[in-house]
Parts: sequence; structure tokens; C-alpha cells
Amino acid sequence: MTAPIDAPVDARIDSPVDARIDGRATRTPRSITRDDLRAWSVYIAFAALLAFDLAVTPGFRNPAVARSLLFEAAPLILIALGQSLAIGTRGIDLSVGSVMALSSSVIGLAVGAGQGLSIGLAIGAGLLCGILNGLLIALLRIAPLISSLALLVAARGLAQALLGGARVDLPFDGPLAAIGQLAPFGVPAVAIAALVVAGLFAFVVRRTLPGRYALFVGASRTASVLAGHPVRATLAFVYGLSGLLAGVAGVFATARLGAADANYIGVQFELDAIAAAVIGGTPLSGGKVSTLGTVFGVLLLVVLDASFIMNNVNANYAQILKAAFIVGALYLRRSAA
Amino acid sequence: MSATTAGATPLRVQTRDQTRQRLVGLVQSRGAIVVLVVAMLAAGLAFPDFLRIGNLSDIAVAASFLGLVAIGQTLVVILGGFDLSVGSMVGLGTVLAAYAAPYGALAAIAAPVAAGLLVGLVDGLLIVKARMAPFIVTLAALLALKGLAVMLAGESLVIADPGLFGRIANGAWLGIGNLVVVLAVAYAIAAIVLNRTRYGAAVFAIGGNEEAARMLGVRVDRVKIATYCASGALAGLAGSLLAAHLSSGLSSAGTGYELQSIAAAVIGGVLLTGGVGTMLGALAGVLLLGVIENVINQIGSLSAAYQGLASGAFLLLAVVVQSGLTRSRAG
Repeated sequence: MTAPIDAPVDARIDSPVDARIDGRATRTPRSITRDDLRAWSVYIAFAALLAFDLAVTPGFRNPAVARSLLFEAAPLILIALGQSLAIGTRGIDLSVGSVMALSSSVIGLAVGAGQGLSIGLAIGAGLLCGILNGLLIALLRIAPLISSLALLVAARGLAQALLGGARVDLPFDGPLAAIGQLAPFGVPAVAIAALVVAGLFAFVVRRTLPGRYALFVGASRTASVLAGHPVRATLAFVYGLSGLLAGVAGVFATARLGAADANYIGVQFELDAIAAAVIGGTPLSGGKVSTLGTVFGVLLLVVLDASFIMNNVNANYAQILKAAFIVGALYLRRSAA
Repeated sequence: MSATTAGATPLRVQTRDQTRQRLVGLVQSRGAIVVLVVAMLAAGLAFPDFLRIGNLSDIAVAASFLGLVAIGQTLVVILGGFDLSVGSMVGLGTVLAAYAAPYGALAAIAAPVAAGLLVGLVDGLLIVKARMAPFIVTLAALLALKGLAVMLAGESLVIADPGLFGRIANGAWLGIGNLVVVLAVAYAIAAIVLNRTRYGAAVFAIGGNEEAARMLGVRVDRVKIATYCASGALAGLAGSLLAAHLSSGLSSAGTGYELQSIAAAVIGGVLLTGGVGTMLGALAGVLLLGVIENVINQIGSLSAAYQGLASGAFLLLAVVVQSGLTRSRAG
């Protein structure tokens, strides 16, 4: 391992500092290079999988399938975006799944006092977790892997404690039910929301100072410090954003499930979020974020899951295959990373 | 991490500085033991039953599975990596032990250990030869092994006639469970290996500075692979003993051990940046988590969910203190 996640930046003698934000690597005008293929791999893989499913998988052509997959993908897209920016700063956020659960628990507790209020509180809880995480990382200089790991354990515990392990069913009408079911023209509202967020996210990363600072921190923290960038504020912003997005994702997932359940919501979502970000072209070595790639990374994983289920692959076998797929994908990605 | 810590030390305060550094180092490596003792005394005052030998032995037995896992995890963390696959490996270990139990106690122990070695070998090869992040490789292994365990066993697999295998895990000697002895012996061996062998020195060297270790002629790749193998094998052993303890193979056994073992190591003063740590500290971390669990159970009205909250909070606290100590050490 030449570049551990939390190693000092100057240890990366062999990896070029690259603060560009698009997924494209060095391009030569003459022909398609291996780098091109690698940069496009997530789109190629997604197209191939889609073609395979449309041709072979029974029932996949039913529009209801696409709708249900989009419902599933929306919260994952949100947390994968937050994750990709955290990875872009050369960090990681393992807490996203647990923060979703906490957000779900808050809805379960507060739903009696009004649905709008409960949604606001849930998102606020996510933001608080993110800010706490960011402060630990930025001010106390704790490795992101560890601080978010602690939060993963603690937030899940808190979420379960808040609901006492019970599942709280949501009312059948009102804003939460709408979030869980509304699909104008067959496209889930949450998926549209997630795509809008992705667009805003791309704008923030490409065109605003916090976004640019975040990538600079990821490319070289030392250089950022020397350049007088507000490194701590940037890190607090990045993890706060990730927590905020996880809070919203928790609302989406809870609304879709129709119940607040701290034992079910967001379990192992952090893995999918990391895998989606990295498969999508955000290298673990930081300094680069690919928004579109992250979105397609999520879609790829969601469709992959569905392909296993709809082809009646045993769920456990599917899990092994998925793990192998992720390792394979990241293996192919590693030299770009 | 390197930008602000590299301050030059003025010459005249060097001796006082050295004393302080020694002190900080001592707190860092032995602090967990003090906290453990204080926590036990406090628990003893609050719950009269707590300090009975029987209860203490129960705590140690319950902590022994995590304890074995934490040995491997500590080695990997000192090396500068992580092993997130250990929890799933424990689950798979219980299932394999349940399958092998009819062929005798030896088979029931050997099969999970061998499987753990194999898993560690694959992890290690991917990390060393394919140059992938340990975090990613072992995360994928976590998923895959869990899938495999559920596939092999369904929810659980009962060992019909545990016999000698069951007695190994559930027997006691003078009121002290056999597993406590196993745990003590394992930590003693681990401490000797870490502090008195060429391999242990290599682990510290790689964790401290991998490039420097390589240039000094340490066989970095081999040591790394061996360490992941050790971690896998210990997780397999923990799974085997857990199966004997429960008289069944349980695919969900060991869930969360990956985080708890890292937490235990960190609480015990193992630095996540690699190169620093003691086995005694890790053991204290494991026992501290066990004491917390026991106390939460004794309070009764608190649900098990608070356990996650408590261990997460403890991990955070430990990390904050550790990073503060490390910074004050660096001056």
C-alpha cells in the first residue's frame, strides 16, 4: 500500500497531485487510451449491465422496475455524493448509514408532533452529526476513518436507543407518504430531488470556493495550509454536508419504507456509498471528485442488486458476487486512484 | 498531519521535555489499565455482585472471543492497516466449526483456523501485490464472508453432541472459565511475539515508516501477508471457540467485532497511525468494553442499544485523548 488513506500528503511521492474535478485522465488526441477506458468504465459497465438485463432478465423491462430502482437509488445517491466529497478531501465518512438510521429514529419520535416538524428535526439531526464529525476531524485532527467509525457505532446505538428497538409505522397520508410514493410521470420525486442535489453538488464542487478548497485539501493538505486556505472550515463544511445529505437520505428511506426503523435503515449503506464513489471515478487518494460518475456508480450497484434478485440468485451468493464485483472494479480503478 | 507537528524543540528545555514525553507515553500505553481498574472499582461499589469471582470470570469469558480477535486487529493496526473482515470471519468460523464438530474437537478448531488463514492470505495478497487499500479489501471480505456464512448455515446450525469440543469452551477450573486461560495464554504469546521476536520488530518498523523499513531490508510484503493471516486465523479461532460455547454455528455471530476490536485496540493505546501499541493495552481495552457491557446488563433497565452508544462514545473519547497526547508528545 503506497498511499494509506490517512497518511501525510508528502508520503505520496509516487502519486501525482491532481486537483482537476472531472473524471477524465490525461487524454491524447490520437486514439482511445487505457486511461480513457478507465475514466469511462462506470458508464460502459452500467450500459453493459443494462443491456444484459433488458435482454435476459425476466420482467426487467417493466417500467415499475425502473421506478422502484430509482426509489431505492435516491437516498444512496445523496450519501454517495457526500461521501465522494469526503473522499475528495482524502478522508472518508463511515457514519452515513448510521446517521440515516438516526434521522429515521427522529422521525419516529417526532412524527406525532407533525410530519413537517419531524422531517426538519431529522435533517437537523443529520447535520448535527456531520458537524460533530467535521469538528472532530478539523479541530482535533482525528483521522476521518476513526472519527466516523466511532460515529457509526454511536449513532446507530443512539438511534436504536431512541426507539427502544421498535418499529414506528408512519401515517398513510401527508408529506412523508408523498415522499415515499409520489412519482409524477412515473419518475419518483425523490429521484428528481436527488438529481437536482447532484447538479447543485457539481456546481459547489466546480464553481464555489468551499468546493475548490475541499479538492485542494485532498490534493495536498500541506500545500493548502501553506497557501493560507481555511482548511479546518473546509473540512467542517465537507463533513457537515455529508451529515446533512445523510439526514435527508434517512428521510427518503424512512418514507419509502413507511416506517421508522433504526435496525433496518441504512445498514451497510456506507459500503455502497464508498464503492459507488470510487467506482464512479473518485480516487481514494483525494483531490478529485466525479459527480456524474458517483451517480452512475450508485445506479450500477442498484441495478446489480436487482439483477441478482430478479434472476433468482440466492441472496447470500449475490452478496459474495457483489463483493467480488466491487473488489474487481476497484482493482481496475486502483492505478487511476 | 505533518504540517503543524514538526516544530523544532528549543535546546534548554530538552530534559524536562524528555520527562514529559516519557510521562505522556506512559499515559498513552498504560492509561487504559488505570481506567479499567477505576471502572471496575466503581462498578463494584455500585453493584455488590460485580466483583465476585464468578461475575468477573463471566466477563472475561464473554470478552474472550473479542479478545482473540483484538490480538490480530492490534497487530494489523500497529502495522498501519485495518482488518474489517474479522467480524464476518468469526461468524463463518462458528459455522465451519459446527460442520466440522462431528469429526472431533481437533477438526472443529482446525477448520475455522485454516479458513481464517486462507482469508488472511487472500486479503494480504490483494493488499500487498495488487496494492489495494486494506480498508477496501477487508470491507469486501466482510460482505463476502457474511454471505458465505449465511449460505452455509442459514440462520444457525446446532452442534448435536459437542463432547470434548464443548468442554473446552464451557469447562472451568477453580471457578475460572477455560476460555479465560486461553485468553491469558494467547495474550502472553502475542506480547512475546510482538516484543521479543524479529517478526514483532518488523511489524513496528513497517507501522512506523514502511519505506524506511523496506530500505532497512525488512521483508515488508511477507510480514504484511503474515499479519493478515494471523488476524484471520485468530478470528477463525475465536469463531471456533464461540461455536463451542454456544453449541451452534451462528452466521450472525461476531457482527460488529471489526469495529469493537479496533475500538479496543485504540482505547488500549494502539495508535491508528501505526507503529505504536501494546498487547496489554489492547487487552485492557477489550476488558473495558466487557465491563461496560456487564454493567449495562446489570442496570437492566437500559436496553442493549445503549451498549453501542457507550462503546462509540468510549472510542471517541479514547481517540480524542490519544490525539491530544500524541500532539503534546510531539510538542
